[in-house]
Amino acid sequence: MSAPAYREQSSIPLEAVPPTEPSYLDGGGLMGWLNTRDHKRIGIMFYGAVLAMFVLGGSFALLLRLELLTPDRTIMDANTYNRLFTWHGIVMVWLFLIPSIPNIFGNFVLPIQIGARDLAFPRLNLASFYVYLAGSAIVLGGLVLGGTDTGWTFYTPYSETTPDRLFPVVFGIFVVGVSSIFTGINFIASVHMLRAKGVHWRRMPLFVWSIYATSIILVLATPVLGLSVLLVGLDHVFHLGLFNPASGGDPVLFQHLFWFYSHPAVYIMILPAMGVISEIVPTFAHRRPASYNAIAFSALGIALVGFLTWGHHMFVAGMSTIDSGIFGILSMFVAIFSAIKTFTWVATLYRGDISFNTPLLYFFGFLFLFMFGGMTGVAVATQSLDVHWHDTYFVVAHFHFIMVGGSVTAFLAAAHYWYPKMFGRLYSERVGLLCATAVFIGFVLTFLPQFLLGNAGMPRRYYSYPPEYQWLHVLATGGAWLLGFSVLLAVGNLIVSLRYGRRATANPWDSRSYEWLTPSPPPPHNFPETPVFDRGPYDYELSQEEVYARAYPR
Amino acid sequence: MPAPILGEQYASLDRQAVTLRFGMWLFLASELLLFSGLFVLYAAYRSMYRHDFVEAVHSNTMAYGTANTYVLLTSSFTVALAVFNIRRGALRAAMWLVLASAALGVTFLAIKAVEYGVHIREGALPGPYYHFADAATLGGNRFYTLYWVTTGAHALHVTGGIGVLLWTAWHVPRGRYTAGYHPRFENATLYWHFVDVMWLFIWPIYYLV
Amino acid sequence: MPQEPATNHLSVRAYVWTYAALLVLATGSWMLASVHVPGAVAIGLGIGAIKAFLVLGYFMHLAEEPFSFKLVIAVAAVLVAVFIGLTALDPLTRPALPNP
Repeated sequence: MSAPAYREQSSIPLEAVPPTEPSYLDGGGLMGWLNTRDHKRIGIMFYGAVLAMFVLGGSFALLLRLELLTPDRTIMDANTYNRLFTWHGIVMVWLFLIPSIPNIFGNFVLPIQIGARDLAFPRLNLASFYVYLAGSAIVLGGLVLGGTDTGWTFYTPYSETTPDRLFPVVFGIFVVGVSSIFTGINFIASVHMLRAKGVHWRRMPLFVWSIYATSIILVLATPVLGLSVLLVGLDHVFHLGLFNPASGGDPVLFQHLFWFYSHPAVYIMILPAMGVISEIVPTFAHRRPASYNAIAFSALGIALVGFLTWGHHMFVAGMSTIDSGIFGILSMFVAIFSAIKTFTWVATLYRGDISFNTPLLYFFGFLFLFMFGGMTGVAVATQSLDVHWHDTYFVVAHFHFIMVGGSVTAFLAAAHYWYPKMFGRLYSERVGLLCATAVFIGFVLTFLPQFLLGNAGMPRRYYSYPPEYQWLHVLATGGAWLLGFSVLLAVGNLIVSLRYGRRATANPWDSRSYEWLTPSPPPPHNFPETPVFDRGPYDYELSQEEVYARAYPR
Repeated sequence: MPAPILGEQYASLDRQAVTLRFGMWLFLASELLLFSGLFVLYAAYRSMYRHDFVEAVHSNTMAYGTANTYVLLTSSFTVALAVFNIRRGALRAAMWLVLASAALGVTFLAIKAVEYGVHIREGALPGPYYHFADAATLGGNRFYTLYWVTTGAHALHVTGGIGVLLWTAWHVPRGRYTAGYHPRFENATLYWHFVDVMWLFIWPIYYLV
Repeated sequence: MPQEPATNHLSVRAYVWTYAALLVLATGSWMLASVHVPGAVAIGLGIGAIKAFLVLGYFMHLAEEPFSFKLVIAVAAVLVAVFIGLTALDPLTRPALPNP
C-alpha cells in the first residue's frame, strides 16, 4: 500500500485537453460567488454549509454518547439529553444528509456528466442555496431558543402539547424542504432536456440515474413533509387537536403523513450514495459495470417502490394488522433492488484491473456495512420481529448502518473521488487510506454493540438504563469518538491539500466517465469546447488517448 | 422591446420554453402532493366518523361553495383564452383576459370571506373553538377543522395565484412576452388552472357528498 | 425568430365547448347532491376527476405536450391514490372500538 497507486497521470499530454480560460474557481470576487449562476460554485457553497451542519449534528451525537457512558446522570440532565437526541436527528437528517450528496456533488458533477453547460434553472439553483441557508438559520434559531424534545419525528399528541418552542423548528424544516423541491425540479428538468448530443438515456453515467431517481422523491415526497410539519406547528400554536384523541383526532394519522415522506426520505439519503458507488467501482476496477441496466433501473425501482412502504414504521403504533401486513410485504420488495445493485457492484470488480485507492477502500467499508444494514432492514420489516425490536437500539443500529455506514461512507468516498476534479489538487493518499480504515473501525465499534443492546431490550432515546447494559454503551461511545475524530481527520486532509496537495491532471483515476474529459478544475462553462459524445461512459476497452481523440477531434 | 435571453445551456429558445414549462409541471406535481395530505386526512377521518361527516357536509354552506365553483371554472376559461390569444400575437387581449381571471379570483376570495363569516357566526370554527349546533359531534369538529385548514390553504394559493396573474399582466405591455416566446406567461396560467383543479376536488367532498 | 406567433392547437370553439362541458358537469354534481344517492362520494369524485381531466388536457394543454409531461402527472396521481388508499385502509380495517 506504499505505492501511490494513482494511474500515472502523464499518459495524456495536457494539450489533448484543449487549454482554456481560467477555472471556475477564479475571478468575480466575493459577489462573484454570492451571486453566481455557476452550478459548480453553488455546489462548493453547499459543501461549506453542509459540512458545518455535519460537524454540528455530529457534536450533538458525541455529547449524548458521553452522557450514556454511565447508567445514570453523567454530564447532563434528562431534559437536555432529550433535546440533544432530537437536535441530532433534525440536523443530521434535514440539514446534512438530505442535501449532502445531491446538492454538493449532484450540483457539481451532474451537468458535466450530461455534457451540459449548466443546470436547467441556474437562478433556481442559487435560490435553493439561500433558501437552505434561511431554513437552517430558522431551525438553528429555534434550537438556540431551547428547541424541542419531541424527537426528530415530532409524534403527536406530545408535539402538540410540549411547552417548547416548536414552531420555529418545524417552520425552518418546511423552508429547507422548499430548497429540496427546487433542487429536485432542477435535476429532473436538466436530465430530460439538457443532455448533449450523443448522451442518450442509456449512455448517461449511472450517478445521473441515481440523482434523477432521488429527484423524483425530492419533488413528490417533500411537500408531504412540508404539510405534516406545518400541521404540527399549527396544532401546537392554535391547539387544533388535529391528531389529539381528546379532540377526536388520531395520532396515528400524523404518523402516516410523516412517514409518507420520511420513508422515501431515507432513499433520498441512500440513492445518491449508491450513485457515487456506481461511479467509483467501474473507475477503480477499470471495467464497465456488470450490468448498466440493472443499476439504472433498480434506482428507479427503489425510488418508486420506496413510496409504498411507509407503514413499516408504525407496526406497533395501533395501525390495523391488515395494513401492517400490506406494508410489510411491500417493504420486502424494495430490498430486492438494493440487492441487485450490491451483486452488480461486486460482479463489476471481478476480473477487474483494480487500483486500491481511498475511494475504493471506502467502497469496501460501504459494501459490508450496507449489507448488514440492509439485511437488518428486512428483518425489522417483518412485523412479528419488529414487535420485539421497535423503538430499541436494534432499529437505531439498523438505520445508522445505512445512513452512516452507507451514506456517510459514500459521501466521504465522493469527497475523495471528485476532489481532484473540483479543486485541481490531489490529497495525501496515505492519510486518506488511514482515515477510511479508522472510519470503518470507529463505525463498527459504535454501532455493532447497538444491535446487541437493542436485541437485549435497551430502548432508544432513554436517558438512563440498567447497569448490565453499560459495557455495550461504553464500547459505542468509544467508537463514536474514534469515528468523529477519523472523519475530522479525513476532512482535514482534504482541506490541507487545497493548499499543499500536488496538482491534479484532468483524469488522475483513468476513468472513462464524462466529467474527466474536462480540465481539473473545469472552466466556468464546463467544457473548453463541447466534446463529441459517441461512446458510453464506461468504455474501458478504449485507451485514454483514444477517448480524448474522439472527444476532441482535431 | 427586449429580446428574450437564451441561456447558454440551451440549444434553442424552443428548448428553453419547453424546459420552463416542464419545470412548472414538476412544481405543480409537488403542489398536488402538498394538498394530497389534506385529502388523506379527510378520507381517514371520514372513514372513522362516517355518519358525523355526512351530517356535517349537509350542514355546510353549499350555495357559496357552488358559486365559487362557477367562478373558478370561468376564470380557468378566461385564462385559457388568454394563452390562446398570446399565441396568435393578440397581446392586449391576452392581458385583459388575465386581468379578468384575477378579478374572478378576487371574487372567489370575497365569496369565501363572506362564507367564513357565516361559519364564524354559526360557531363552525376549528378545533377547540368549535360550537356549531347543527353538527355538534366529534366528527363534525374534525370535519370543520379540516375544512378550515384545507380551504384556508387553498385560499392562500388563490391569493398567490392572483398575485402571479397581476404580475404577469403588468409585464405584457412592457414587452416581456412575444407571440413566439412566452413560457412564463403560460406558466402563470398553469398555476392558476392548478388552483382551479384543486377546488374541483375540495368542492364535492366538503359541500356535496 | 421569436417574433413569429406560436401554433394554437385548439380553436376558440374547443375552449368554449370544454367550458360548457365543465359547467354542465358542475351543475350535474350540484343537482345530484340534493338527491342523496348511495355511492355519492364515488360519483362526486368521479365527476370531479372528469372535470380535472378536461382542465388538464385542454385548458392546460397537457394533451399536446410531450409524453414526459404526462408521465409527471400520472406518477404523482398514482402516488396520491396509494397515499389515500393505504392510509384510509388503516382506520377502515381496525377492530371496532366503542366510541368514547
